[in-house]
Amino acid sequence: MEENRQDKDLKQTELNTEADGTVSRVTRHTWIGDKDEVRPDGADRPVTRATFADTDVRSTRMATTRLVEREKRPYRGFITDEEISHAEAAAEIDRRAIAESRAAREAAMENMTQTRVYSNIDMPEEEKAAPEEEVQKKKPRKKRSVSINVTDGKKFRRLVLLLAVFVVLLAFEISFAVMKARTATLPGSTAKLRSKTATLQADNTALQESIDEIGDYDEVKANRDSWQRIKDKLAE
Amino acid sequence: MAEDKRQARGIRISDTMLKVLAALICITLVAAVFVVPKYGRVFKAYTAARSEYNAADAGYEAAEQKNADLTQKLEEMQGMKTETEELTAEVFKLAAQTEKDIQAGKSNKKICYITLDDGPYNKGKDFLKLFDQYGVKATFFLTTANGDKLPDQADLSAKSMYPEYLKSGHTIGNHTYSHDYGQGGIYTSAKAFMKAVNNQQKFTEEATGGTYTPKIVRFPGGSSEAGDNAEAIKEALKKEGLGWIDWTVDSGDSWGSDRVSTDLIKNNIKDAAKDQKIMVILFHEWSKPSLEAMPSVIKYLDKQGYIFLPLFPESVMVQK
Ligand SMILES: [Zn+2]
Repeated sequence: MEENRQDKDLKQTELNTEADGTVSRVTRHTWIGDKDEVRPDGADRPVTRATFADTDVRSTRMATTRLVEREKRPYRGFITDEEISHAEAAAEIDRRAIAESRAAREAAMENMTQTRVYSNIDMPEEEKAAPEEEVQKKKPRKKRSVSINVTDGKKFRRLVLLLAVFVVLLAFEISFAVMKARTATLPGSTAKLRSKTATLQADNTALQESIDEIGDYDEVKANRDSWQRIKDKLAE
Repeated sequence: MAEDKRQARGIRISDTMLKVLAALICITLVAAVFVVPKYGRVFKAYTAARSEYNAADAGYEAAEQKNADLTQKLEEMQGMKTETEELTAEVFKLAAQTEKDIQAGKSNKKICYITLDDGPYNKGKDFLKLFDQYGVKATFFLTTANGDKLPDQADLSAKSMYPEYLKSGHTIGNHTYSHDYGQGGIYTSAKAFMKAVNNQQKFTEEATGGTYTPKIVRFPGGSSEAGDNAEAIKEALKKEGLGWIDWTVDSGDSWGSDRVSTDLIKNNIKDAAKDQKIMVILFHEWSKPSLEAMPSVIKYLDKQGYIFLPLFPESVMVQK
């Protein structure tokens, strides 16, 4: 009889563990025993079964906390098969509640991280302060990334607008820097060009003088051609 | 499935990237705060500097293009000049041989040397224009009897005419500086003659910028005017490496205004052309009838087969 009860209690504990999962965010108090037994807090009263699921403290704001209650059952001695089946059913309900809670938390987490894009990526205070998260902090920090969904037009437009503003500002500043640099170097280049132009012009003047010394282009050509004709006549 | 696809089309940005982006935007914004107030001033300064640079660049490009054009033109003209010099040398060589062949009766060719004395005159420009028009080369025996002034246009410099003769390939001869062949003049002695010759040589060199020295002398009034000193003068000329020449045909343009006409000139030349295969015709640069008769003369002689040449030192007609 005693063994039977212990076995059943052990089974219930296993169910609890299974329902909680590794994160152990669900606390369930299940007490099943004789009416002679005294509960750890010293109370001597009918044992009730209370199963509830809680969520991670960090996500309390966003996650939906659900309390699952079942009817209180009077003490009826050693746990029966029926009670075990009830316990299994309760565990199943717990499992579902935890799964729903987890899904809600994950959705909330995603939403929160996306929100950070528009709030300078500051971490919420409660997140930093949460002492019960120490275990998690010891774990290698998961590399966060933000997914901007194309179908989410509003967010996408905001990101594009932000990038556009950045690009425009950057272009504006680059143009400023380039103009400033060029303004500093242009007079030197201009002076060099003018100097080169002056040299070329002097060269051009000399070239023109040399051309003028030879004579008019058409006259020189005509003279050459007439000598050619004379030569042809003499050589005939 | 559709949800997955939509998820796959999403843009994933890592947290670090977001932080970097945010930092960059912050830096850019801060920089913009400093840039904006100065932008207008810098833009203005840049525009002004750019404008000056563009103007300088345009000036440079124009100068560069002009330089390229002038260089090409000069090279082409130098090429033509060299070609002309080579052609001239070939022509004189051929002409010297042709003259010998003509004199030996081995050639039917005819050569005409048109010579004009007493220039420079303003009319010389008209003669030059005509000669260019007909492709004729002639010889101008120049004097400086009127100083550096053109006798028919005193406000024009005589020196300025010298390059004009050379430009068209004509020959400049020495007709003495003073052209004074009266009593007590150039024919008084060989020394007096040579002084007049040398002065003219010097003047010609000055007028041509040292590029040209005459090689042929024509006695003012003809060598017959030299009288007893003729031989001594000819010796003196030879000593100086100068040749001299008279004429074989007198156009008659200096025979007195009452006799001279274009017809007289043409007839004189036509008569000479009957039996002269090498003609040296005497004209004067101051003669209006000669200028008027010249086109007809050229056309006629060209029709007769004469080749118009400028005198050259190696010609058989030049006495050495
Ligand atoms: Zn004369």
